[in-house]
Amino acid sequence: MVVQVLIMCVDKIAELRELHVNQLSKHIEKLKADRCGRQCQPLFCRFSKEECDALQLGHLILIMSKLDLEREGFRYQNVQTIYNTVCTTKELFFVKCSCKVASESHSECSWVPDLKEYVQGVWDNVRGLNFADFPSRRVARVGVY
Amino acid sequence: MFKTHKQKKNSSLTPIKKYDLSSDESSDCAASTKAPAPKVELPKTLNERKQKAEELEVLKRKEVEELEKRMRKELEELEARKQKTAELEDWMRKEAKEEEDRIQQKEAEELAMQQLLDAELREIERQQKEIEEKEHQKFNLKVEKLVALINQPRDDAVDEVVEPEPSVAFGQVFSGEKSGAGVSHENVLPAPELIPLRTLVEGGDMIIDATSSSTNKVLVRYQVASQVLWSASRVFRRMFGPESQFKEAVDVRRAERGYGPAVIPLYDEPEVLELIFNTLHHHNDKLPDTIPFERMVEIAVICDKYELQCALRFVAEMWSRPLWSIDAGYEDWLLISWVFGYEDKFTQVSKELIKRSEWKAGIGLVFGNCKGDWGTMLSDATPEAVISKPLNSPECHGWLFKCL
Repeated sequence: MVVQVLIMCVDKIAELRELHVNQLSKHIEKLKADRCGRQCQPLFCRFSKEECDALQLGHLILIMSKLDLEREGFRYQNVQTIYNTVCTTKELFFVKCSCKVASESHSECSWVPDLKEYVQGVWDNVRGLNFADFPSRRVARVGVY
Repeated sequence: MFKTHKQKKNSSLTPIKKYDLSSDESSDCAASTKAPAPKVELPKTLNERKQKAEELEVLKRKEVEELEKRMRKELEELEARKQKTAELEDWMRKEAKEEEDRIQQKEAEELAMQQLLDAELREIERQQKEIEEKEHQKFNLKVEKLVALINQPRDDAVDEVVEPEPSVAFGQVFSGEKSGAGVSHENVLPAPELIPLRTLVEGGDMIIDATSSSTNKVLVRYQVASQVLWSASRVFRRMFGPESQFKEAVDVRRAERGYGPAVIPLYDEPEVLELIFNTLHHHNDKLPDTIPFERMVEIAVICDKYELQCALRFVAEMWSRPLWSIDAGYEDWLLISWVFGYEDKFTQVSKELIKRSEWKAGIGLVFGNCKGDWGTMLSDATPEAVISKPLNSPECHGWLFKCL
């Protein structure tokens, strides 16, 4: 009995973990794709600067690579680590650059708030398992409870 | 007259007597033939004599030649015979050698066969000795039991109900499913006085042998009341309840008629069994107020095994309440909450595990922030199958529980 229970539980846990990690991975891919596909219309920069979008995209790629949150890296992360990395690291923002193009503050054009909000949403939505997820349990326990 | 070289040679080898034409010739000739000489008319003339002599010479030469021929032939025959004899000797020598080889080979085969037979004989003797020893042990045990029965006072010496001898023990049928109990351990049972006996019920009709599953040795014996056990557990009810036909049940029924307590081995941790038996027999003074987390996990495993959750529900709640935590190292709460039906705790701990679990290359899904590379989840009380099965299964996620 214990054997079957644990196999079932761990399978469900693995399934849910993969679901959440896949959600985060897909969102980051979406962030990249959005910024890559709109070079002609810089919608993300509040000053409508094409360079700003390009910088933000580069920043996104750089940070993701640094934090090992790329497509393959995601497979080996746990949800807690991703949450801690994204939501609690202050240095994630690309605030200011000394070069001429980025002399203005582009913190409001950043992808970081969007990602933080999404990760927080996923984190809050992680739900645990219930006995109802295991229909066989009720059958097995008839007469005991 | 001319002679050939050969003739010369021959003539030198066998000198031919020349006829002396003198007067003594006739007497000489007569002596050589040793027969009464016929009257030969001697040639009168010299020419005739010469002719005669020549004829004789030719005759003599022919004879010599024939003699030589015969001798040569005999010599050849002798040579051929010699050769044949040599060949025969060779063949005989060869045959003798082959025969010798054959004999040697046969001897070696016989020796090997003999050795094999000896080894088999030894093995059979050993097996026979083992069987005899076992029989002897069994006999001794039976004698001991009989002596115990004779010494035991019998109040109810009433009707003798002959119980049918059951052939199957509960443990033999359900060893893989629910319990490792009931398997006969008569052969490994040490002398009863060497094993500590803890009496939970004075005069209890059952003795539970807490037996080590690895060494198959009895560690502790508990004297209990079978009714208390089977009324608390469905598994025990099937094993030795009133409707059961297993060997254990027959033993219990015999015990009721004064045959001494039934002995049943259980392959579980003795200390955990003691806690459970004390709880079931309401020996609350012997129960600790708190227990370590690992012990709680072991209790959960045994409760699940024998379906004792209901009977131990309140005690388990008392023990588990102060142990509640979702920190790393308390992943076994998943098991405890499942067994005792604490759904809110099950949800919380599974939520934490979803958040904390991660994928490791070559290992699979791991939990917690253990000191080692692997996470914790299950205690040592958990059956080995839980740990090994998923790793062996190709379609599984490949998860691990043990902490290094």
